[in-house]
Amino acid sequence: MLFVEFRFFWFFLAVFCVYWLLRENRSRKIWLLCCSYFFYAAWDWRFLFLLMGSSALDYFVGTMLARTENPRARRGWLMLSLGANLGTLAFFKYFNFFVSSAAGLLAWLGLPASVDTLNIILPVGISFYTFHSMSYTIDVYRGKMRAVSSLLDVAAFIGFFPQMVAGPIVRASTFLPQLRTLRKFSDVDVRGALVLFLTGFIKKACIADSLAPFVDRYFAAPESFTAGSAWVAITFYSIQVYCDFSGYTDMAIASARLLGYELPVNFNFPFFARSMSDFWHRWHISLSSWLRDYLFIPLGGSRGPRWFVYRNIMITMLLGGLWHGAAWTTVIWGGLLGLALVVQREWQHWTDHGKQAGNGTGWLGWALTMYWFCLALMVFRALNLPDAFMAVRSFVLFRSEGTQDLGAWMLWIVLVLGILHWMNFRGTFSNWWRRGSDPVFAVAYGCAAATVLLFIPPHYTPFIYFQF
Amino acid sequence: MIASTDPARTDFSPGRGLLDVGIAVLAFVLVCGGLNALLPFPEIDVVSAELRFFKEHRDEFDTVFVGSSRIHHQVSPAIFDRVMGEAGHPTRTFNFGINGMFPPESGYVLERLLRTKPRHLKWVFIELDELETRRIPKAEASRRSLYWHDWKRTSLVLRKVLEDGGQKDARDLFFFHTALFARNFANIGRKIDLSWWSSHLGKKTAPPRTLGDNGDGYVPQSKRMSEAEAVAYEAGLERAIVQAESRRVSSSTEQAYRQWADAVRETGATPIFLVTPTTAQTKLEFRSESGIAGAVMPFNDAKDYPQLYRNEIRVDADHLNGTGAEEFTKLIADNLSRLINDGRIQ
Repeated sequence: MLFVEFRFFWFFLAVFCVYWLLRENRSRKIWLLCCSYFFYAAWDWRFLFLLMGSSALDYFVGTMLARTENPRARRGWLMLSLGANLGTLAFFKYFNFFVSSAAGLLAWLGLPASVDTLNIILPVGISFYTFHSMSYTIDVYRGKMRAVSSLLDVAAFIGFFPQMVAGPIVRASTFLPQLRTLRKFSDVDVRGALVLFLTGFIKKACIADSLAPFVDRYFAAPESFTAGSAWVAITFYSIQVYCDFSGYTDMAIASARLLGYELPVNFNFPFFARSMSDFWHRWHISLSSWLRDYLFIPLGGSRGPRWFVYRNIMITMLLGGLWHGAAWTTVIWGGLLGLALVVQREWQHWTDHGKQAGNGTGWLGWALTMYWFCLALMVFRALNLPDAFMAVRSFVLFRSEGTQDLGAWMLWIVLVLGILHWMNFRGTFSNWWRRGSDPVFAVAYGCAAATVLLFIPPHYTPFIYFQF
Repeated sequence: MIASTDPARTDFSPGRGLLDVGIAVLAFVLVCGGLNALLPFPEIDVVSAELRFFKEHRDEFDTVFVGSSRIHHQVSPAIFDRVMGEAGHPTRTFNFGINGMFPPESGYVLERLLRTKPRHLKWVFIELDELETRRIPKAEASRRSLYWHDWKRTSLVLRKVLEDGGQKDARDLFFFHTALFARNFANIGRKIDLSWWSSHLGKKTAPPRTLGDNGDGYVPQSKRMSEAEAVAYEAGLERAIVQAESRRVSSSTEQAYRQWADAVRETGATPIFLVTPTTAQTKLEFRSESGIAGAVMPFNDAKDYPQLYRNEIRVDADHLNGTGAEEFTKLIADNLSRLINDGRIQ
């Protein structure tokens, strides 16, 4: 069930109405949990047990952590949680990747091995809910929050349908306290949530899905296209992936907000970033901050000698790349972006000795950041490494034997979208929908929704981040 | 980025909330309905091109055949006109058969065709079959399966699904057609039609290839059955003849045909219903005494029309090849002449 489908509308309507009709917090949470599991089962009911198992295990580990002060025992319980969560993730997401990579390596060494991969289906959202789940046990282990006594709360947090399958990655310490208190409808910013939902819908259904066919055409055979097409395709893809993911996030935040819950912001105008570190403060913020707090800092973070910090950055970014997909293209993508962060740090070290990233870099910093982001994204989107090499060569060297053309004139779309995005960045559109009475807003919203539907492609395209 | 900055609302009342929702829904429905009426006819593969062609030449034809591939590949306007001319009833015929166009889609297209107001229309042959409610996996995501889902058609299909009731997938079909209606009413993805319309404004489009060599909508099939296919066909036909039965059409189907017959009559033409020579030897019966208020020509009887069931003139159980199409067309023309001469049809 996708947020842009009609059936989600009916589903959410039922969830919303019953939720607010219920008076007790516990009944509401039970209702939310049932609806969340129904939402997940609509994709594949078999993997519901995995989600339930993950919730039960982490609740149990949290309870055990609360019962003991013994550091060894506590570490043991944490390892159980991490091992189970990461083991499940590794099996479902990476088993085939590691097996086929090992077989490839052996063949390259002249030791051909007959290794069979399994026909494993990737449970949707496993990368996200695993991180939700782990944040709970890690935070309890670190003493950042107390273990909760209710399995219902933990299960409702991990399974909460707006954020379950594609984020934003919500920390237990952010969400569980919200579950403890009864939400009041009078506190809900209904107008803001509705506008946010429609904005997300437009981003996903009107923009991302309309650009997808051009991007797909190019990346199906990059060798057949001109170098100019490589620029058009990657510009479109960067907009597509942003609109797709931030659109999903907007709809997730809006849906949660209509139920009285706040989810963290996930995007903050990343295309206006003036350095790579600035970019990661604006793009998929919930993941980058999760990796920072639960991986980069435990590795040693920014403390210690420079090479040590660079090692930590590269490990974090390579694993971050691997999180995005079980393929070498995503690992290289992470590596390229990590490399940019290292180069930026080194540059800062030689120029202004540790001043805040982004200061003084201006337009050149913006251009370099966007160029590198697009280059890395080319590798990310390519179907395989040879295709990635071909596309990058076209993009960087302006050299391609291909004759097909996507049409540079289509970049006017980028110009229009860029202007709208800039106006939004400047706050041109903020809060204008708050003017006028409720009936006027209702009429405007109904008209806008009806008009928007004209501009969506006839068929739904799955969210890009669902595959992660 | 939209932030949650709205101060807490303290003036909320459920009644006012519901009223606002009602206003929003009403605005949505009105705008959808308005846009639906204003938007150009959707650009549907083959259908739109043939409708455009017919609109341009509407006054040249007085006889039209509407239906599926069993019309498209089996009725030759040239032969029909020749036989009718020889019988003293000159006609000029167009074949509006389109592959996969079953009722109620055929009825929708028929109404569109009549809306072009052809001035000389005399005879409209409509392929008779039960309303098609099945999902066709390969086509169900296509715009072709969407565009005819207006309320008139959808309500007929839903009634048919409910009438068939016992079907295992009745609930699934009910939701499937309802969702298509909602998508069609909400004009989902219709920007394509706007783009097409604006890019072709004032330009002449080439006639579709499906019009055939004569430009009359007929495309014969040249294939002949292999020996193995012929054996299987004969066995199937034999079984069908043994199991031949009469069956009442569903009331929704009957209502649909009555609606289309009325629409044809309103233009001053006469509707004639045609059952093509398939191996399904089912005699369709109508519930009401007046039936569907139009002449019916059933050719799906191997005993009455053995010449149409020889394996050498067939492509498969449902279709005739070019030679078979000639024989079939002559039979239709002969039947029509007889009806006119007997005064049974005006």
